[in-house]
Amino acid sequence: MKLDDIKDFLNELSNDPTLLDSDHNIIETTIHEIIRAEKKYSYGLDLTTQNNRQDEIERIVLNSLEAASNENKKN
Amino acid sequence: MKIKRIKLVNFRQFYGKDNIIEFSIDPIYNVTLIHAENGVGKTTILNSILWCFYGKFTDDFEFKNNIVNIDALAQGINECEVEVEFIHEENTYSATRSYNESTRNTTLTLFAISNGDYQPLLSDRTFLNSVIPEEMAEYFLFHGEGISQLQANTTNFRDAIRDILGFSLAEKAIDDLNIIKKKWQLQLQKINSNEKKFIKLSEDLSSLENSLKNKTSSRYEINTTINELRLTKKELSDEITNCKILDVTDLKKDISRLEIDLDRRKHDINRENRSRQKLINIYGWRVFGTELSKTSLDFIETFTLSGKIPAPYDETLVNDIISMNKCICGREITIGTEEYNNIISLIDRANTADLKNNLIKARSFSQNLGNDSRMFIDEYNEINNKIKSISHEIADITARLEALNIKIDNIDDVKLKQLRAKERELSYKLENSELAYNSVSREIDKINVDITQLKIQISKNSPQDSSSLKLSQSIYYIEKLINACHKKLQQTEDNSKGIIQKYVNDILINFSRKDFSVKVDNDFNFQLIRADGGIVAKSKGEKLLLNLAFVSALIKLAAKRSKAEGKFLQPGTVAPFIIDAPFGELDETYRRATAHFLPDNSEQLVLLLSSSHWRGTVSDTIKNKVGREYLLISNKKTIRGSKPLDEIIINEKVYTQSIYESQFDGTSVCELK
Repeated sequence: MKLDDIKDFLNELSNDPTLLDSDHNIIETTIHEIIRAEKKYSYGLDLTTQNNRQDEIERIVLNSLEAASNENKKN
Repeated sequence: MKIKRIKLVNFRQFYGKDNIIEFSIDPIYNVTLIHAENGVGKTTILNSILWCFYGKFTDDFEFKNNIVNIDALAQGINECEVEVEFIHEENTYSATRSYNESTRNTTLTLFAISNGDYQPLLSDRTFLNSVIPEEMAEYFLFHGEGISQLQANTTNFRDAIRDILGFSLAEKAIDDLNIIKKKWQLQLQKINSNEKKFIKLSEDLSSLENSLKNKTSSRYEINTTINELRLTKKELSDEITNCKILDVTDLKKDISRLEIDLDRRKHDINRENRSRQKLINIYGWRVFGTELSKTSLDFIETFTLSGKIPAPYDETLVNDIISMNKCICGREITIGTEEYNNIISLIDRANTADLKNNLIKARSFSQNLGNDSRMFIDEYNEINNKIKSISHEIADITARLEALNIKIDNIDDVKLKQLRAKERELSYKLENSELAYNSVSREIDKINVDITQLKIQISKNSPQDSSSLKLSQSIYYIEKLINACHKKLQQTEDNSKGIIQKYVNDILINFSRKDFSVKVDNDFNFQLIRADGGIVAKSKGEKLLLNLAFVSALIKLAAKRSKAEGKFLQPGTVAPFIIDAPFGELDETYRRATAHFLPDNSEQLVLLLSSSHWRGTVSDTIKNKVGREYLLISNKKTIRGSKPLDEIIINEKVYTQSIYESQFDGTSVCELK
């Protein structure tokens, strides 16, 4: 990590202390997964119904919740 | 991405298969010029690319359903197509959209071209959206009307920034997450239909959340209306100022100045009111300190002076007398005697180091309390005096405004009276809209407080069985995800506003005639600011220059973001800037400026120009950047008769722009360079 990156991160941290939350990374990863699903169902070969898209997003959220609970138990 | 060529086959006014335009892909001679008079096909060229990629047209494109050329239809040809060949990341691709009038079906095919070999690409939509996302496309394929529409309201600027930053997927994700949350909330209510209190609270929450959504969107609409009304009022005010009726211009200028002053003073009085509120919230309690401090200090002083506090003898002295059993006068003291007991009782009130310290502290606290309360009262009075003085100024400005308005209204001119009536009507509407905005904002604040309280009550009354608990946890978690998405979007929007402002300012510093800069406020108002900080009333030319600079800045931002990861937002893109009639309202100086900065700020620039836009400055400034040049010729089946020759001089050569007694009515393409 470069010094500037560290400075940027510390600045971000001072503006948004929730970045230190243990489940913050899980939330970030989950949002990225959801966006990937939106992309897949909106433009991709899997262009199907709204229900299919929302079912997949629901699955992603539930898996992520489980991962977050396991992480909390470990801590 | 750079466009190599487009081919139009029986598309709109382009008859036959020979309508091919090769675009300049040279990095230095990056401009392609397409000359055409009005109605010949400039807007069709721009729309053909939009249609080929996304199957849509710009809003102002007329007769959207008449896609196949009329002469082709008359000859029994029912199909038309547009082919766009483009280079993306050093590979060449061909996109072809065709339309059949009989079946009314549209099909898009996409090929990767390698050594003349065409390999079909199946996921055409994904690919095209990765090359140039649909919501960004309209800023690259820009028509004159669209540029002036940018100023119609400030939400257009905001939407443009959100589009170019690729917010669409994230916004769709938020909508989907809200739908899932709603579904879970209903499931939770269903499995606990016997838990009356919980159900009632959940229903209340759901209704409040709906109400919050409606109020938020209604506030957004009111804000858009306010921005539109402000703009129309400003334009009307400019019209009155420039109406060339005796005295009106000066009077109106005075009114405008006073209105700006009034706004400023109203802003000042709001600020002072907020300061007063803050002072009372934090230090208001000190006002009670004056009495408390006075009573305490009086008590301390009275008892100190009378020698009661502290006592005039020390604890050590009393202890020494007792331990030695001898008074300071030398008399023996026997334990248990009355004198001995009297001396013992002195210890209770004897002076000690702690007592001295406490007394000093009490005196200092009382003095500080008194000083603080006096400072609070002084500060409070100072703010009150400021408020009073500003109120006087406001009353004075209002009276002067009233007098000036009466003077203008007394001028006997029909047109002026009509304009003034319109202005009054607008002011009335604006005032009502502003009141509505404030009222909705207060309601939203209250709903937010109620929602927070309801959520606390729901969590206290939540059913504790395992499935309910799991659903409650899921709802709480999905809310966290939704909030995180909103926060990310807000942060990105705030950061990018500063970047866009910088890009626009870079362009204006180099190219604007006057010493202006641009400032973007919280509501996405783009204001031209003078060196002394005053807001400039923009002329039509300056508005257009600002809009062109804004779109150029957007394109630069999109290019900067083209390598973004796209995990949350759509990545940006590098694409040709194809612009229809950009020089409309600009004077010669601003035309020259625009002709300079547009090629410098785009990888590939395509200008669609009529002769009035081309002559003079633009031609001189841009000719060294032109790589390809075309003329669109109007073909007519009719005879010329007595109509004048329709000619244009380009690069010192004369070209005929209209061909009579042609085989078709429509447009053909002539290559000039």
